[in-house]
Amino acid sequence: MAANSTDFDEFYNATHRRVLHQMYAMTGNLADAQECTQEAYARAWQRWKTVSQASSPEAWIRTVAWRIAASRWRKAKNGVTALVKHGAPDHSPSPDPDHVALVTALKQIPESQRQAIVLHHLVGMSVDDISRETGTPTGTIKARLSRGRAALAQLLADTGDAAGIPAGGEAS
Amino acid sequence: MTGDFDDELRQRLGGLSADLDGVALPGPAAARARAAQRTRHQVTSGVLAGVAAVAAGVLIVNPAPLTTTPEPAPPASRSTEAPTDPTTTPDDLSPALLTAGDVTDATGQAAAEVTQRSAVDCDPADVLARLSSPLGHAEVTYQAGDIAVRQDILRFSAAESVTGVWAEIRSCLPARGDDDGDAPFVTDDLLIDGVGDEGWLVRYYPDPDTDEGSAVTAALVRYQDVVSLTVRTEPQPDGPDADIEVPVTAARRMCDALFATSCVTDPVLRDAGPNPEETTEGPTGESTNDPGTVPGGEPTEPADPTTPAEELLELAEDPFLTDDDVAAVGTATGFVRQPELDPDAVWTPCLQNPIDSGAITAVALGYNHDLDASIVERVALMPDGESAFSYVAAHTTLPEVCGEVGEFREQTVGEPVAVDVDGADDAVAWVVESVPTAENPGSESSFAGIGIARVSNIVVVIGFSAMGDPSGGDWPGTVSGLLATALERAVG
Repeated sequence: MAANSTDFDEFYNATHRRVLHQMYAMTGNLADAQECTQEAYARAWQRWKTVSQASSPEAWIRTVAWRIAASRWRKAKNGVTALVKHGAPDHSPSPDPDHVALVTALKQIPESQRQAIVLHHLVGMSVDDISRETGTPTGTIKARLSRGRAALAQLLADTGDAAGIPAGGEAS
Repeated sequence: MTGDFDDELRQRLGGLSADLDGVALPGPAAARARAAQRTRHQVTSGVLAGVAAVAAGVLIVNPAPLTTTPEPAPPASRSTEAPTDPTTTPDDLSPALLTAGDVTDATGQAAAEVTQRSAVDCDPADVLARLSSPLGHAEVTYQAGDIAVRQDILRFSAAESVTGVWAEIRSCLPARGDDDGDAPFVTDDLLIDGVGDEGWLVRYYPDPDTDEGSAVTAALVRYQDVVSLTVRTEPQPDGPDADIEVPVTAARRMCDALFATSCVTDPVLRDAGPNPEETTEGPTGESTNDPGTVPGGEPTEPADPTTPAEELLELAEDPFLTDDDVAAVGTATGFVRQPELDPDAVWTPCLQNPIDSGAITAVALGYNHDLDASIVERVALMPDGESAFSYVAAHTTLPEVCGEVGEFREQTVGEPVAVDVDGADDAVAWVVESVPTAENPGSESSFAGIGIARVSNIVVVIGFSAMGDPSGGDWPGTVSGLLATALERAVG
């Protein structure tokens, strides 16, 4: 009935780590992931009445966080002033070389492919679900997954990290 | 083999979670605080503010005239700052909602809460949801016999007049008694005195030609930083002329629950229309911007006959920016007027056509230069300051809901921001970037920057479209000067 902070807090506590994990994979940077995730929750609270009634509030958060991240990349690419930060937490990059190699490879593939890879292989969404969440035709999602996997395999192989791992194949 | 890769990738992506160990987000309270901070910033920086006639208790910006008017000394009951009463709870407003007993008393019929909330034509709740970023919101719906009663309570960041919000609500409906054959038909257009800091009420028939149709009574009452919107829907023949019981009961409950005080003294309804002894030349002849009601003033005070009626402006003979005015827009230079340029061909995403918002006259002129950039300027004469305000206000939220993500291009819509424009009552600006997707190789990104400003009933719009941002990331700062000049040129 009311915009209930308890509901919001419960939702936040139940979902924020998953979203942060996904955003970390998407952005390859923990500080950025933290900032985008927290910002998405702030926006959700501004519209909590609507968001809480969405079929999947977590998907709403994920989508918004992704768009925030994408916007930041584009601004950074264009040399435009970055978004104002709200005390973004300081965090050092992962020292794990395997993780470094993976996030470095992820950052080198196109955003749309990276998003499809993360949604499919990390979130565990089907192609149809990704299609619905992103508003993209299923054929396009399959193509992005295929190309993304091929690119990742190549990039990881180049670093000697994933030698022998084949790429490509149809998405399930 | 593909399965192996999938498994490997899934496992490695999952393994990234180890990097999150020891990492904590600031928490839900911080997220809510950030949202609240943004709300305060947005409001005090002028958009909704000007719009809702803000000024943090020092000055009240009257949406109608061009001047700022010192606010009368506030009575003791009205704080000019956000209330600090420890009895108030910032987020949970539900205790302030009408109870079933309240509705039973107000309607004379046994009321029960229902979960189904039916919309009404020109639904005022839609305006609240669109215009405001409240710090808190609660709602409830009751059915009392054949009467439906809905209530929304919203809390803002500071005690502000919500004249503009009511104007937006009211703008969906025609003038009272204006029977042009189109629904809806307004039967009552009233101010509520003696309840809260300010209040309004409108009663209308969404479908007057149908005997089985309903009558809707919507009332907005503000006390300090909280507003109550009540919507009562009932069969036409049974409806009272104008029901004050529900909004008064709602205000009484709200003030008691949130402020531990009574904000109801001697409730009286009075005509919101212009005093027939005064001259108003507004095209509608039926403005809710009662010349005797200074936004932010005490509605319980009698109308001040010395307060001038809204000054309506006219368009200049040549209302457009000159070539010199647009010689440089950030790093883009050399624009010249191009009368043959189709204004609609200039990409201005998330922009409403002023004609669709009730403009009496709207004209446009294009400008371009040798390269890829184009400018379109739109100048509109609105019926009154309220409708001009509403047009600007709509764009404080429109960019939040526009923007497209397609297979070949993705649009990123920046948040609209308030712009400080010399001579303007309200102004807002935003940018949109359209970036080709990976499926669209070879295409270029494009940029659109839009700014809107209004003074009284005159609105100017500047739309800039190019392959890049000429402002170095400060489109609001770049467009503010253009908007100021555009207003100077536009006003006759």
